[in-house]
Amino acid sequence: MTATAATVRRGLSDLAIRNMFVIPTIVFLILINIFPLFYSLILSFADYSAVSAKPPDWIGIQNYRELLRDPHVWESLYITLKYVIISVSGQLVVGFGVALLLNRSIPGKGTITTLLLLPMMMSMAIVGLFWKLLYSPSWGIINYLLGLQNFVWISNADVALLAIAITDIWMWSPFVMLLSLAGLSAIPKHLYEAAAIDRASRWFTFRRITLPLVTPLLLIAVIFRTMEAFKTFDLAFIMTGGGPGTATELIAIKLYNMAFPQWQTGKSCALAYILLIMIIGISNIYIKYLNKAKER
Amino acid sequence: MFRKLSAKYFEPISMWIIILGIVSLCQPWVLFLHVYGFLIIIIGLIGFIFFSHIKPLPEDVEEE
Repeated sequence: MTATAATVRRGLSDLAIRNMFVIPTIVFLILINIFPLFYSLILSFADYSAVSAKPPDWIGIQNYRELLRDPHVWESLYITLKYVIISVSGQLVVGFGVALLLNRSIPGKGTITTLLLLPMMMSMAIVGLFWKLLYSPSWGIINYLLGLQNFVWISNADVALLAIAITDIWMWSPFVMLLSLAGLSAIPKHLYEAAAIDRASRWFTFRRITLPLVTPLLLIAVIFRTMEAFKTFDLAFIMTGGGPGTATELIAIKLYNMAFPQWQTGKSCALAYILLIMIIGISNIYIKYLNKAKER
Repeated sequence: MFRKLSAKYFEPISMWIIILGIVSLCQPWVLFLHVYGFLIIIIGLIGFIFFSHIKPLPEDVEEE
């Protein structure tokens, strides 16, 4: 085969691939991701409103200073932390529990697993809307099943956050279940057999064999769910819109209200960066523990 | 020596500073802690990024 024929058969040269695919992708990535990231960082140090004709005015860290002294932001951060703790721990317990149940030979295991994964595949907006109907005080099925006559869920400041967290747990426990199931099915059976020969109790087997070997995958699930829970917007916005009052005003809803209805673009960019730094901090810690768990 | 100290003390301390910062930022009781929580997170994060990139030498790992 001649060199020319080989080139024709091979198709595009490396240079052509670079020009046609790699460079446009990098340019697209810079325009869509990197540029807004840096532009918003600059705006977070400026007095700027996107609807105003005035150009951004550099004010240093004043936005950050004002935000960190704002009692509403403080309250929103506390609400978000509560929501993250309830939601992620709930998902971990339910997801891991269901995975333990499914990690045995039962008839129709595949079908059950697929059906359990359905909530995760649904749109957040749809889930929010139909859980709002399920929570309805007069004809919602939840009150009917629990025997709570006209108990108000969504409009009750004491339980509205819990109601949203329950919806999130319902939706995302299958994700934790899926990862846990992958971890559980990878545990070698001979470890359990050796434990059985040594007459180890079920609790001891769980604590010393199951849990350590599933931990890396569980940590991955926790990382993803924690990051998502910190950013939760759509579910809470559709179900309660941040209300009643400010009872469910998560930090993402606060950010939205600041950025759009109030058009405080500079300040909202600063709040977004506060949230980003928090998430980076948490993720770093989780990743560190994940690597440690893998080394073990 | 510094590498050893970094892996054994500075990196874990930075992690705890990040945790302290997050708790300070989100806790509902003390405004002072909330105001400085973000700064604490940044200090911890910079420390963590710096110290986690200083790996102990292979001979130090073998000694342990």
